[in-house]
This record gives sequence, C-alpha cells and structure tokens, in this order.
Amino acid sequence: MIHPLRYLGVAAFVALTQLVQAQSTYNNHAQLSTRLKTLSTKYAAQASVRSIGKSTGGRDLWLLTLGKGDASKKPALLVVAGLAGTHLAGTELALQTAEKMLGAANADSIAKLLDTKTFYFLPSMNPDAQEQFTAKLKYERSGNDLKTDADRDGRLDEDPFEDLNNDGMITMIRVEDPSGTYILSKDDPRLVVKADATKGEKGKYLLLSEGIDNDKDGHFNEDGEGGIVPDKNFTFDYQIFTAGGGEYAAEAIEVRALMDFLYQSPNIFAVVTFGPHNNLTDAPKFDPSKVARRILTGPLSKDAKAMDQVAKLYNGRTGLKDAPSLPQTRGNFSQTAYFHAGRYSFTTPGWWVPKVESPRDTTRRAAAAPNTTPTPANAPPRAGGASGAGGRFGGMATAAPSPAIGGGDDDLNFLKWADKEKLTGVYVEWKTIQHPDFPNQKVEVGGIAPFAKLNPPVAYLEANADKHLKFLTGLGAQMPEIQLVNVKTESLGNGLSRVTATVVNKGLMPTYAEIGDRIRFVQKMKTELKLGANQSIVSGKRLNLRAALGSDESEEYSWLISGTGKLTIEAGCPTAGTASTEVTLK
Amino acid sequence: MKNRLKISILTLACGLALGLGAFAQSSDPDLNGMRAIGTPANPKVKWSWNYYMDYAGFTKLIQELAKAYPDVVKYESMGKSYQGREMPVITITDFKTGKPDQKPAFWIDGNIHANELQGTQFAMYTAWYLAESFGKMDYITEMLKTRTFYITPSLNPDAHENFIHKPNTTSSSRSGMKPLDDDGDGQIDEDGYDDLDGDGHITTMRRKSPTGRYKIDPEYPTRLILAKPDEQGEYELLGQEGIDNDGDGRVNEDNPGSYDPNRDWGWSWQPDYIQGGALYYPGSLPETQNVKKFFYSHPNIAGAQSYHNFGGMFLRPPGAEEDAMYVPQSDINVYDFIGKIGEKMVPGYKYYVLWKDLYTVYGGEIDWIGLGRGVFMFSNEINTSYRLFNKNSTENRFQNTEFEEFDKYMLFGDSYVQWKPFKHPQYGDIEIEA
Repeated sequence: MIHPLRYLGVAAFVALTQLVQAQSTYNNHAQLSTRLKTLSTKYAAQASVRSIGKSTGGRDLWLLTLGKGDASKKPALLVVAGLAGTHLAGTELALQTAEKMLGAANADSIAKLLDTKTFYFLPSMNPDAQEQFTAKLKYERSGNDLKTDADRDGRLDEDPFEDLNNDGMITMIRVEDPSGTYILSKDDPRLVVKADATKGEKGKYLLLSEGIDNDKDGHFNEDGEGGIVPDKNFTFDYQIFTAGGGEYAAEAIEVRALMDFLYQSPNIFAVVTFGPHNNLTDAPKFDPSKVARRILTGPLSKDAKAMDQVAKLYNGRTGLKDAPSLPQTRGNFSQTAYFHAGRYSFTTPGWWVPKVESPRDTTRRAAAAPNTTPTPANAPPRAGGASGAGGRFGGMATAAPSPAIGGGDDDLNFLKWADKEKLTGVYVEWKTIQHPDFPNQKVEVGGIAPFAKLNPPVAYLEANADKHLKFLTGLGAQMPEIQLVNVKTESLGNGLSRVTATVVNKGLMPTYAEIGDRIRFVQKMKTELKLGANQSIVSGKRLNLRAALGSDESEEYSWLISGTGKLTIEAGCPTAGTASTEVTLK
Repeated sequence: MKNRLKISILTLACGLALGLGAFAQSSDPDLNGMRAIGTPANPKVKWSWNYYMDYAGFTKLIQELAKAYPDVVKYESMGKSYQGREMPVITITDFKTGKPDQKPAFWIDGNIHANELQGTQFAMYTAWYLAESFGKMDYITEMLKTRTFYITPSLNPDAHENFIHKPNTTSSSRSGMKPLDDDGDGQIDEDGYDDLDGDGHITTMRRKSPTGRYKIDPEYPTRLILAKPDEQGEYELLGQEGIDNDGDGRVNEDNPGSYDPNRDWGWSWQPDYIQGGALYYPGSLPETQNVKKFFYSHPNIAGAQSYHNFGGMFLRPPGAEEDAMYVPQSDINVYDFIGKIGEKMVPGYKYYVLWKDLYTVYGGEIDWIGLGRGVFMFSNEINTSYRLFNKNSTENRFQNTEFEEFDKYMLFGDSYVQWKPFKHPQYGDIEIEA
C-alpha cells in the first residue's frame, strides 16, 4: 500500500521543522542516555528506548525503536553507529536523524512509514571508547574497557599515553634524530610526513604518539587503556593475532550483544551503519570469482543489483559529493551483517571533510587564522615554505579519492578546510618539551587534535542529518510489500473445492537479500493455509517455503480442499511483512 | 617440550591400550588372587565399566573418587549447560605437592557430540585409572607430583541425557538441545522424529516399491542391501522414523537442536552455510563458553585431548588447509612423534591431519585449542571396525558383513531389531526396523 511518490514531500517538511536543540559538542554516555529518554518520553506513541546489553565498562547499549504497534512484527531497518570509538559524528547523525524523523512523524508519508515499518537505532555501540572524547585526557580510542595485555608481556595496560604538554589531549611527539624517517611536509609544515627517498628527501624526525616508554621495552604507549576494538572483532573475515582484534571473533560483549540482537530480530531487512566505511556512494560490484568458492568474499549477483539501486537512492537523496572511498575492513560489522547475518548492509561515514579545491593562498590563510589562541588553527611557523606548492596540492586533492580519513593528503585537505572554516582547537602547535626517554634531544609535541578529522563541530552535522533522513525514508519506501491477489475458490462437488492464490511482491526490493536464502537464521518466504474445522487438504502442501521473491515477482499456489467454511491464506516473511486473506468454501 | 610429550603419550596409553596381560608384581592381601600389571586390581572405588553412564552415573563416580582420594581428586563446575546442568571438571594431581595451577596440565574432554558416549567413558576411565594408580604405580605417582590433569566427561550433558533416555537414532542427538528453527519457517522444532512404533528407538522406514533399489540380504534378513544393477529391487528407503508434522511436504526437517557444538569455537569460524552446524558466532553456546573461560583461567594447560567416536583416528590440527601456516615444523615434529606412537599402541588407528586426511572443519575445538591457545591438541575418534575382527574390510559397508557377523557371533543377535509393519499417515503401508 505504500507508494514511494508520497515521500517526495518529506524533505520540504523536515526542512521547516526545527527540532534539534542547539548543542555545542558531542554527548558523553550520560548525556546520550538522558537525550534518548527525553526523546522516548516526548514521543511516547512512536518511540521507545531499551538497553540490549552493557558494554565491557558497564555502559548501557541503547536501542531506540521508532514505529507504532508491535515493532518486532513489522519489517525493519536498523541504523548502527558509534562502533568506531573515534566516530562521535556517526552517533550524533543517527540521533539527529531519529529526532528529525519523530519531529516529522505527523507528515503523511512519515506517519505511514512509522505505521508499517520499524526503525531501530543503536546509536552508540562502543560507548567505552567514545567516552574518551569527554574524558579528562582526550585521545582517539577504539578499544572497549576490557583490560588486556596488548603487548603480551604479562602486564595489563602498563604503558599508556602521557600528556606531556599538559593540554588535556594526546597528539604526537617528534624527535630530532639522525635515525628519524620523517620530515616536515613541504606542502604544510604543520604536518610531519614520511621522507620520500624517490624525491631526494632524507629523514630528520622520529614520530611517536605522545607519551613515554613506561615499561622501558623500547615501545611507546603500546599497552594503554582500551581492550578489544569491536569493529575488528566481528566474524566475517576476522583477523587473528591483530592489535585490538581480541583473542577470537565475537569475544567482545558489545559484538555479541549486537549480533544477538540482529540474529534474533528476523524482521530486520537492512542495516545502515554510520562509521568510517563507505559502500553507499559506490556500491560493490558483482564479481563471479568472489562467489565461486566455499567462502564468499563478494555480494551475490541479485544483491549487487539491489546495492546499486540503493547507492543510486543514496546519491540522489543526499546529494553528497566527493565521498571518500573508505573500503570495508576485516572483521567489521557492516560486512558481517551481510555475509553472516544475511541482511542488506550499507555503510557511510555520513559526514566527511569537504574537498577544498582552490590552490593555496598562503597570505589569505595566514590572515584567516591569526596565531593568538593556545590551540589555534594557526598558520605554520614557516608558512613561506609552502608557497609555490599550491598548484601541486590542488592537483593532488583532485586525484586523492579519500580526503577525510588517514594521513598524508587527508591531513593536508583537512587543515586546508579547517583554515577555510576558521575552526579552532583542531590543531596543536608544536611545542618543545623535556622528554625522559630522549634527554639530550629536541622533542616537540603537537599535530592535529584527536577526533578533529572525523568529527566536525556539531553544527556541521544538521544538514547531513536532513539528507540521511531523506535516504532512510526513501529506503523504507522501497522495501518489499507482499500482496495476495487473484484469489479464487471453485466448488468441484462432493464437498471438494479448489483454492488458488497468487503471492506477489509489489515493493521495489526483494523480500530479503539473496544471501538470506543460504542462511538458516533468515526466515524464508512462506505461504500457508490455516484450515478451519473439518477441513482437510486433498492436494497441495499446507505450508510452502520458497526463496526470496523479487520486486514484482509472483508465484501462484493452488490447493484441493475437502470441507466447507472459512479458511485463511497467509503469505510473507518477517522482512517483508505478511498478507492474509480469508476465503469461504461452500 | 619433553614433559608435554610424556603427558600426551601417557594419556594415549591410559585411554587406549589397557589390559596388556598378567604378571605377578606385588601382592595385595585384600585381593584373592594376583594383580595384573598396569591395572588398579583392587580399587577403592569399585566401578563397572560394562554400561554407558548417564549424567547421574558419572556425577556419582566423580563424587566417589573425590571422597576416596581427597588429596588426588577434586572437582568443580566450570559453568552450566544450556538446560542448566552443572558441567564438572575433575582436577587430578598430587595436591600435597605444589599448586595444581602452577604445574603443566593436560586437558581431556569427551562427548561434545552427545551420541558419542564412549568419550564420556574414556574420560572417566582415565580419571578413575589415575586416581586408583596414584601411590601404587611409581610412574603415575611421580607424574601427579609435577603434573595436573583436568578432565571433563561431557561437553554436551543435556543431549547426552536426551540420547540415553529418549527415543533417538544412533546419530541423534549429536547436537545440543537448544531449540532452533532449522527450516526457516519461523517455527521451532516443529517437525522432529516420531517414535511411530513406540519402541523407544528412532529407526529406518522402508516401503515395498516396484522402483525400490534395495532387497533383503539373503544371509542376514534384517538387513537391506542394494540390488545389483541389472536386478529388480523390492524396497525403497524412506529415511528415519517420523511423519510430516507441519504439512510442508517434508519429514523430520526440524528436529530439536540441529547444530554442531564442535563448530562453535573461536578459530577460523564460519557460518552455517559454509560450515554446517555453526550458530551465530563462536561461543554461541554456554557449553563452549564455559570451556573457553576455563582455559583462560588455566594458562598452565599445555596439552589436550578430545574424545570422539568413531573411526579409529588420532587427528591433529589444523582443520583447514589455509591455517597450515599456524602449525610450524617444530610443532609437527611433536605431533608426528606422538601420533606415530599412538598408531603403534592401538592397532587399526591412524594418525591424521584433520583437513588433509579427513575433511575441512571451520570453528572446531581442535583448532581453537591447538592454534588459538597454542596447546598440543589431539582429537581422537575412538573405535574402528578393524577392532571387530582385527582386520580392515576390503569391501564397503553395503557389501561387507563384518557388523552382521560380529552381531551374530559375538553379540548373539542383540544389536538388531526386527522389521514391523506400520500404517504411515503420508506413506501408507510401511515397515519400521531395526
């Protein structure tokens, strides 16, 4: 009954609705908990909050459920965020999207969606690591609160970071040393980059994370707080013996909580993850060689088609440009949700550093960011050194496909964008300190501030939340829809009747991902008769299972029934919903 | 390294090569006779080994051993099974000499596949043998001063109990008892086996059919054999005893459980469509989680052995070819040494590499212990048809008669049931065996 055209009005409506309260920075777990509870109280008819478990550090893993009626009985979309502890923006985007959806709940199209579908949000699946953003010492952390022996020396968390310049955050240290392999970037001397021998560059600095070698094993900060990295600990393509990966797949309780929820919610049709991976602006292609072996490594052909359809929807609805490529990584949730749990699975960072195209104008940049505040987005100490690099930098930015995350070109683009936007607090100027491990050497602390590249000031996210609401509602409108049509009853005499019905999917996507037909925990398309008293089936199966039904695909069933009175035909599956019709035999 | 070797070899010896003959060694005033060497001739805990113990049975034996040998045998629960049974681990060592968890230790488990009852027997026999031999055989006494054994009789106590006390086939219930939807219809365990003739067994159904390919074996009439290619058959086989309970046209497609606890371990885990029997993720079951917790809290475990049935094999890791790199040559040397001694000790048994000589297993216990924990690990498939008449049959199971002969000459026909007629709601007139 849902028609996709009805959703076209959503955008305009949402744009008029100002629901998101002014919020200056990202939430900690306590603030997030309050915000969710407030939301579920304000919209009690359409929203509820419960915990699906606790993190290793004892923080609730909140599930926000939007929709009317029995959520578990309706086809659902699941939005997951905050698996990457460094990605607060994903959590904020998921929340704002949910808030905007509720704010627009009275718009016809969204009201209809909330009637017929369920929207699950798990906004913060790695709260232990995310808490480091608002902790006394701020550093980018990915691991949960499990105490681990990261360097297998028999001691737990014995070599953490230290805040050597007392600015409350962990950046980098550079040490002038003849054995160093790093130099100052010629494009932006605020950055320290690897010397490139092919360009005749020779290393001058050692580059280390901020801290000292507490256990004197020659490694810096190799065993600090932070245990298992959940998004390395899922089952698909899990990598053993890797830092933060855990002892075995699904060891982290956050991972088990999420997979339990997904496996035990057979109504979840698709998963959208906000995180540092992207398969939405450019869908993965079908590659026969990747599905020819026992262990699949690429999508099945029908699924690749559906993913392409959704990628088009994403690009069309969000209008976002210059997305970073951000390939999937080993043992992450997004791929596990597809390859192991058998659901369509999409992922996007939701926000990324816009590409700054114009060649660098050092005069303007220096003027735009005066060197006055303690941690300014300041001009480099040797700004002049970068003149003449402008043209080349512009060329590089065009060629580099992933400007948002990572080092090198990403850092350059980030600083350029931060300068342009006059952001403060995103860069720490290099400052000389005394370092006990390098007593007679020049050691400086500084660099890009933790979290800055992935997480813009919160104000930058609102427009993206609008865009992702359009995408989510668009995806909801494309979901499968089961109908029972051409239902016929013919009396054949002797109390015998033939009942015929056609099951058809009038949605724009298959009833579930093709891979679901390989996975025992994905419930199959089912068509069954519920017989009345004194009726029996003479021919035909009472219960029929079949593979996923594609968009506009149909199948006719027919039964010979002995007896009279009412009987019910029921067809569907949890990811597509169930249609049912009653017939009377004479 | 050397010490680990000794333990492993000893365990093979304990479990598999007992009763080598009689020799006067020492006299026991309480024994009306002479001790046979290598045996606990006059045990404090008198126990019969001619039946398969149920949960109450092995629990009683554990308690009696702990009571009789308080300085050698202690037990604890490593946690509860899915249905809430405690899972006992027996610690056997000389508790008066050193701390148990600071001695190199050997782990033994059995019965992860619940129908493989022999694993429980062998694990318990080892515990009993060690306890009864301590203080009597110098080798054992010395070993328990410096070594610890952790022995658990069943990794699948729920289904172990179900297998013994409920109607089953010879291979159900291999799985545990956690209810699951096997056929994806949204209903759980709705079409299991049915004991149609009420004899307490789930056996085979056959029907007379002009297109059937089976005929009665003239020599052993309880048995069906394949008709020759140019010969007309008399019967068709209809699978295991049961009916189509849910009207989907299939019989017995959704039994209780239907998963494999030995595909629930954290090494190279793969989902069910790649590795049949797997659940949500490694450690979906409380039973396997309990073992993991025990291993992490006992880093002194250096060697391990898992008892299965059947086929006469000493299997070593890895379970998958792509993991061969995790068993370096120095480890292979150790495995080869032990495995080859095993072949010598138990005629008919083969020392095999799991993936190469048997089949590929993802997410198996053998790999989690062997590769994930770096513990020398064998999985033993107890018994082989070689042991029937001490020779390998040259024919396949549908041609040879070794089991029938064994039943006739050694078991006096006790192992077969006769065919009985039955009116089946879907198949009509059928017969149920045996």
